[in-house]
Parts: sequence; C-alpha cells; structure tokens
Amino acid sequence: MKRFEPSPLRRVCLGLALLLAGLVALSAADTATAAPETHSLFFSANQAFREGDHARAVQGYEALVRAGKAGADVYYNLGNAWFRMGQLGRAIVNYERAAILAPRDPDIEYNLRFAKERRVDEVENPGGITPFGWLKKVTGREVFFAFAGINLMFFLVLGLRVRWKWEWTWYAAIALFILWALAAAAGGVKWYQTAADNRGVVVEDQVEVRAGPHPEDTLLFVLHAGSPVQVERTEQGWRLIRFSEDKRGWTPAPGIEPIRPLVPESAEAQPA
Amino acid sequence: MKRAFLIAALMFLAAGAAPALAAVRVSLEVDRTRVHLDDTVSLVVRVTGTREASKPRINGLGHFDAFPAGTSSQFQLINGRISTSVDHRYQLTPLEEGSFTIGPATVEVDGRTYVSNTVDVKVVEPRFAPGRDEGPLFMEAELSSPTAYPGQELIYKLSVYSVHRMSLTALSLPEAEGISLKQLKKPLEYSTTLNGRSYKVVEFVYALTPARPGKYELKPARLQLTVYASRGGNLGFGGLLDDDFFAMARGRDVSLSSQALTLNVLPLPEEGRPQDFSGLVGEFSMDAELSPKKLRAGESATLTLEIRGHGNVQLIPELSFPELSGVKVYADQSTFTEEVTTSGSIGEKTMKCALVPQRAGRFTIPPLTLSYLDPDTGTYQQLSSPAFTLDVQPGDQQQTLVSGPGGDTDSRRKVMLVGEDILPIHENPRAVEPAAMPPAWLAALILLLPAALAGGVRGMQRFSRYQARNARSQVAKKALPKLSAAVRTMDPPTAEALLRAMNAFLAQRLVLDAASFTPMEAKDKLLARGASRETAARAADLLFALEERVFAGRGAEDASALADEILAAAREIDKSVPRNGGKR
Repeated sequence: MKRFEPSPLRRVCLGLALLLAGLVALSAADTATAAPETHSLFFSANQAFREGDHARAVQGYEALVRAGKAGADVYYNLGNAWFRMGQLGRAIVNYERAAILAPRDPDIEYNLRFAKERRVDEVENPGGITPFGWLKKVTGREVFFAFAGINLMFFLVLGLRVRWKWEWTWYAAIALFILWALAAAAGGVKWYQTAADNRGVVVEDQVEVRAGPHPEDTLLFVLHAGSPVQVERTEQGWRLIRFSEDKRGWTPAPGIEPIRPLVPESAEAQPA
Repeated sequence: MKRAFLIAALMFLAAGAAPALAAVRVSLEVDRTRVHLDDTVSLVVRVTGTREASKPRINGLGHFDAFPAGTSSQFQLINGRISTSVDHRYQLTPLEEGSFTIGPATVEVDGRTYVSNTVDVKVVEPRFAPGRDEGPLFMEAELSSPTAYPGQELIYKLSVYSVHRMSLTALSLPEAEGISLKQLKKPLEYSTTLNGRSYKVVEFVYALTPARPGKYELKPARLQLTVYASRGGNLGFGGLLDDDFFAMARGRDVSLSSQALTLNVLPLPEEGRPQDFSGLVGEFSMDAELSPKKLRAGESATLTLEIRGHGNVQLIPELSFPELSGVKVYADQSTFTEEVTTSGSIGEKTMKCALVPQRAGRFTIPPLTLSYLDPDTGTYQQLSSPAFTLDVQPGDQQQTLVSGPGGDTDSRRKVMLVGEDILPIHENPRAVEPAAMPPAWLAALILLLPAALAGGVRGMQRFSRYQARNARSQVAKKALPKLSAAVRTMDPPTAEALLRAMNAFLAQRLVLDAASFTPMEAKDKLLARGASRETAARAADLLFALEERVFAGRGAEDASALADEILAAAREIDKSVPRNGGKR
C-alpha cells in the first residue's frame, strides 16, 4: 500500500495553518474569563444603578476596576453612575477610559460628548487634526493584531519564495512589506500616544491653580469640574498641570484625576 | 491729447448708446400730508422722459390757493442711458380744514395725455392764532393728542421755524418716566409762509408711547443751532442780490426751547375688556384664508392669517391655532414686518399653519379672534376670522404616505429636541471580561514566530545546499588518489584506459556531471575553475595525445610514457583548482 507523502508546498501550508490556529487559540485564551462572583458584582452594581442607588453602583463598578475586571462597559457604567451623582469630572474621566477601550462605541461617544457639553470652562486648545489622529479610533490591541496578521502574511509569502519563485509572490511580498511597514509605524505611534497620554480631568467642583505647590503661592486661575488638563508631573500631593498654552500651574492632586492608568493608583492600593 | 479724445469718444458713444429716452411718466408729490390751516404745502409735478410736455393741469386744488413756484429740469446720463425730467413746483395754501385729494396731474406729450398719481392731504386747525407773530426764529412742539391710553402710539412733532438759514447742532428731548420716544424717519425740511413771512422749517417727528396711566408734563425740548443772519450789506447791487447766499452772512449760536406739553394717559377701560386683550392699542384689521378647502385625507391645507394695522404693532400676539380632532395642525413660524412712517408705525404679522386631516369628513375650523383698544372711541374691538369648513375626501393610502407631513418636502419640519439625558448603562456580562493586550511573551511569540519559521525554511534550504556541496567536495578530494590508484593498477597502462581515468578525474575534481570531455572543453572548464593557463593547456594537450592514439587505433598499446605525465598534470590541477567546485 502506497504511503501518502505530502508535497513540500502542502507541508508549508499545513504548518502555517497550524501556526495560525495556534495564534488564534493563544489570543482567545488571553481574554480573561470572569469568575461567577465577578458577574455577580457586576449585576448587583447594575441593579443598584437601576434602583437609583448610584453610590452603591459606583462602589460595585470600582471594585471591578480594582480587580482588573473592567472592560469598556464597566467604565461607561461607572461614568453614568458618577454623572447621576452630579460628579461631572469623575463621569468624564470614566467615559474617557471607556473610550480608550472601545473608541467607536456610539453610546460612549454620546455620553462623553453630553457630559463635556455641561462643563463650565471653555476649553482653549481643543486640538486639531493630526496625521495619525485616526489611531484614536482604534485600540492598541486592534493595532497589534492587525500588525500580527500582516506580519504572518508577509513571512508566509517570504517563506514560499524561498522554495518557489512564483511571480505573484514577488508582488505580494512587496505589497505586504509596504503594509507591514505602515502597520509597524502605526503601532509605534499608538504606543507613543499611549505612553505619552498625560490627560487628566478636574474632578472637584472647583480647583485653584497656583504659581507653586503651596497654598500660599499666587492664585493663577480657577478651573471647574470636567475641564481637561495635561498632568506634567506630581510632587508631594500637588500636580503641575497645563490647561492651555498660557495657563499652567500647580493644584492639589486630589482635584485632578489622570485618565491613565485605567486603574487609578489610589484604587490599586485598596483591597478588592 | 489722446486721452481727451478718448474721453470725448466715450461720451459720444455713451450718448449714442441711448437712442431712445426713457418712457414718459408723470408723478405728483407733496412735502407733507398733514398740514395746518396756516401752513403752506409744496407740491411738485415731475414729468420724466421728455422735456416737451405741456404745462400740467392739476385736479383737486379747489381747497387751496396755488401759486407757481418755478420750473426746473434735470438731465442725467446713467449707465449710458439719458434720463431727463422737468419739475413743476407750486406752493399751496389751504383754504379750509378737511381731507382732500390732490391730483391727478395731466400733461400732454405729442398729442398723448399722461396722468399722474394722487395724494391725500389732511388740513387741520391753524397752528397759531390769527395775527400772532412768533418772530423770525422759534420752535413749536406738538402732540397728536392730549390724551392717550397706555401703549398707544402718539406723534410728537418738533418744528423749527427760521427766516434765516440755520444749522442745527444739538437737540435735547423731554424725558419722563413711563414715556418712550422713538424717532420716525429723518428730519423733514421744507419752506412755509406764516402771516405773510417766509420760513425755513425743519421738522422732527417722534413716536411717543406712554406705558402707564397718569398725567405727564412734557418739559420743553431744547435745541442748539447756528443762525446765519444778514449783516445788512448787499455788495452794492441794491435788491438784486439781496439773499442770504450772497449777503455777507455770519453765524450766531442760538438756543431755542419749545413749549411744555401736558399728556393725560387714561387707564385702560375695564368695561368690556376681552379675555384675550394683549395690550394692543391702535387700529387693526385681519384677513384669513384657507386653501384648499377640499382635499383628500393625508393631504395638506394651509390656513393663513394676516393681521395689519398701526399702533403698538410690536404687541400683535401669536394666535394659537385650534386643536382639531382628526386633523393634525403644524404651525409655521410667523413673519412680521414693520414700516415706520411720519404718521406712526404700520405693522403686518402673517401666521400660517398646515392642516393635515387624518380621515375623511367635514371639519369646521373655529374662528380665531384678536382684541385691541381703539383709542379714538375708547372701546375694545374684536377681530374675528371666518369659520372655515374643510371638506375631506377619503384618500388612498399611498397618496397619504407620499403627500403627508412625512413625505411632503414643504411640510417637512426640523425635529426639535424636547429633552436630553445620558444613554443607559450597558448590562452585557462580557463587560467584566476585558480584552487586554496579550502578555509580552505571547506578543513576542506571535510576532517572531512567522519570521522564525520563514528563516528556518531558508536555513534548511541553505543547509541542504551545503550538504550537497560538501558531498561533491569529498568526491573532489578523492579524485587524485583514485586516479593514482587506477594508473598504478594498469598493467600496462593503455591510452584508452588512461583517457577514461583522466576524464573521470576531471569530472570528479571539477564537480561535473559529464563523464568525458573534448580537450578544448576540458581547457575551458579548468580555466573557469581557476586553473592557470599552463595547467589547462597541459591537461588539454595530454587529452589530445590520448585521443589521438585511441582514434588512430593504438588505444590498446602501451602508453606508460604518458602515465607519469598524466599524474603530474593531475597533481597540478588538484593544487590549483579549489575543491568546492571552483567557487573561491
């Protein structure tokens, strides 16, 4: 009986298919599966929100955040709960965090815009159009897997060309290389955007911004809840913030909440 | 010179561009429509489009003494068109009080008669008592009525009379709490004759509106002006040039005051005050129209309501269109226009609504009402639109869908936000299963594995090639010993055997598949693989010598003499040609 001997091409294809399946399985396995008590916490927070007990809802959602079980929807719900409690700044912070995780979610976009429209202070540098501005509409995870897919295709074609010099593989390799380079650049920019994101939001009704990190220093200007700032650094309970090109100063740290990290440092310190 | 000629040519062309004058028109104007019995009115009959018209005949002058005040003509060239007109001026002195229509004026041009418009002039009581002389300069204040109601618009008029030329500097109006003044039109300038003396008059007209009942004292208005009075010198030309313009006039600053006035503002009558009275005081009228009155269900009819009048027109209210069972009512944005005249404010408000019956039947649209106070009679008046009937025939569904409020572009309305709030919470349990970035080791694996596999394939290919080359190298390495052994075992060495052995040596040493070579082929290959010319030539000569013997039939003869030479040449080749196939 003749034994089946796969051709070299088939071997390569088979190997790559197995590789692809393995990567998909690995990435799927990476998505955390929540324990029943986590679901229970989420449901009880939702129930509290529906019953109008927004403070309890906030506690529930924040417990999920501290436990590292918060997806975009948890931040969104947390923003809603803060909004219902009249905490505009905290609502905006959590909507912004939700928008980082799900930047194209229409509900998050709507509520974020709705909350921003209720800010007291006029934003003086709302930002313009940047070459990679569209990257804000995709998550880092999406950029990574897009690059991984292109990377796989690119090296697959290169691998084929090692053995077979078909003409189409040359064009495919060139096209994939261009895509590969673009995806790599986008990944780099996305990484930079994430690493350099020092946005913060005023979470108290009113904060006084002074010339130095002392209560006696000259009062420069006053910001109100929800106003966006850039947090330049934090020292001894004070944050150096920039509101616009010519409005920069120090304010007590509790009045400003940075949007990143998504799990606030103060929350991490507390027991889940 | 050239430039002057060009200008002249252009003017000629411009004149030639208007071969025909504008059509003949006749108009009649007066400087005021409300005059006192002791005033004079200026009347102008303007004939446009010809200078050949007859002297105008003016009807309606029976209540006036009319004196011709001269004729003037104008000639204009505008955008290449010639415009010519002749003004016939008259001074009219009213003979009695009343309302009179002056005109039309008729002129004849080339046998054709042209007719003007008419104007209405109201002559009121004399301003001054007969024989009273106010002097050469004075100011007169006048209120259209000494009594009024809150919201009623009165006319407050200030007239400055001067025999001499004057220049006004500043005017200070009377101020009183609860009284507002609004200027109507720019000041009117004219000439008049009082008690036989000719005056230049400047007239300021204001709308005065009281807000609350009470008795108001309107203090005198004050005016700063400069009067240019003649010094009396006339340059020695007697009465010929006795005019302010030619006289050596000098300016003199003067302050004038009008007389104080009293206004009695009556409270709004309580008796008969309608529920819907909005404070509207004046004289108003209402027009209403429904179009079409017959239609199919789902189609749209328009109810239009126009309210116009004079008075405090700003207070014309928005009327609420009625709610009708079975009829959808879509009110449109109303429009309001106001015209300010010397006799007060005239306004018009237009309200429209679309009526879309939802079913067949006869629908009665109840009248819409508007109340206002008539200040002349002191009574409330009510305007009412007629009660319209809308006859609705059954409509087919398709037509309803197409021409109803949703499909008809004209009746399409902007959706208004009636409330705002955040969107509700998300309750999908996957919210607590965040999709995070893979850990670094997995990310590195995902990214590096394809490259590693591709590199592995490439490495394997290179390895197999290396193996093949290595095997050939081993063969090449053993080529010389094999040749030596083969030659030693030949007893005796024949040309045929030596030729086979030499060919085998070259094939192995040069890593070639061929088993035999011509002498020239062998030479070329040896040179290509790095052998020196001498070595290659020696090898080729040996092969040639061996072939010669073989082809000459002496292949089996002893060729021991060549055997040593072959071994020596082979050692040279083995030295000079690399064992990796000749690729250094």
